[in-house]
Amino acid sequence: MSSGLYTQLESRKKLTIKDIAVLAILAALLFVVQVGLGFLPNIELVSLLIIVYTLVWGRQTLYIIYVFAVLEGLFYGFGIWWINYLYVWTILYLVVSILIKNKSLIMWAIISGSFGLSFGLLCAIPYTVAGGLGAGIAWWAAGIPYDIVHGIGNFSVALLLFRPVYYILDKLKGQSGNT
Amino acid sequence: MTKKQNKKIIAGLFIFVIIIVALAIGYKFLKPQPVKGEKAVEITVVSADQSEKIYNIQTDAEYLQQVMDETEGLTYSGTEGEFGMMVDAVNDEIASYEENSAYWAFYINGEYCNYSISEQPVADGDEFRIVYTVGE
Repeated sequence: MSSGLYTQLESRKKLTIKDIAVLAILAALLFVVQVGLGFLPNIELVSLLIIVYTLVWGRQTLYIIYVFAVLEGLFYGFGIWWINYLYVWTILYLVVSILIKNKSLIMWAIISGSFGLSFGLLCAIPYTVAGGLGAGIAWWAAGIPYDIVHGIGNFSVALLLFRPVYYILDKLKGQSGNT
Repeated sequence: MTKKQNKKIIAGLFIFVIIIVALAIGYKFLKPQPVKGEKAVEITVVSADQSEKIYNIQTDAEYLQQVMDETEGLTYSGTEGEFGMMVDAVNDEIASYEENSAYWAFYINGEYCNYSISEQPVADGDEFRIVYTVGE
């Protein structure tokens, strides 16, 4: 049985206290990494971690994502930006779930990089709903240079750290490697 | 790794680079262009106590930061961040996000400014508002 399929089946099991504790720690790790690297311009580890979480923890990653979103809201305040956090990471989770059979490191780097490039466009949705198409395009266009940095940063980070992070988290989950 | 997988990776890399180039070109055309020549610009500073101070300026400046530098009686300071200068103080009034989630919000003609003050173009007749704002 492939690790991906195993993960999907495992995800349907009822959560145990131990599962909840591990998922809470993983959500806290996302939060710490996000805040800790917040000073670096659009260089982040959250995308990589969500990709690896999805590969290793499957559907349970959704719990991690939403706990992470709540932590972010509590820390930074629940502004319009927070609405983005309710769906952007879920989109990444869905993309990874669809491509879960992929075993190529470079492809994961491309996926992470492409997510970085499209981050501004995805985040422009609430601004488009609130202010109209023109406002949404203006908001997205203003951030394009940062999206480019985000995309290249994500690509590089995944290329460098995907294997070690996957190795550590897969060990933590106690299952054989997926890539 | 099979030839088919190699082709997929090369195609993926190619598309990734093409998207970056397309975004860079898109930005060049979508970002507001600076306007040359003389302009009349109004800047209103709204303090924490809601009092307003209005400045009317004639300027050749192309970006808001240059206009603010030229405006007599208007002072500001801040820190350079990833999105340009984050203005912390206007007319010696400090907005501290750490203390009470306060910040200086910039508006152009009633709309929130999407660009930092060094990248916000200025046109004749523009009305800027710099408002002390307390976040949620």
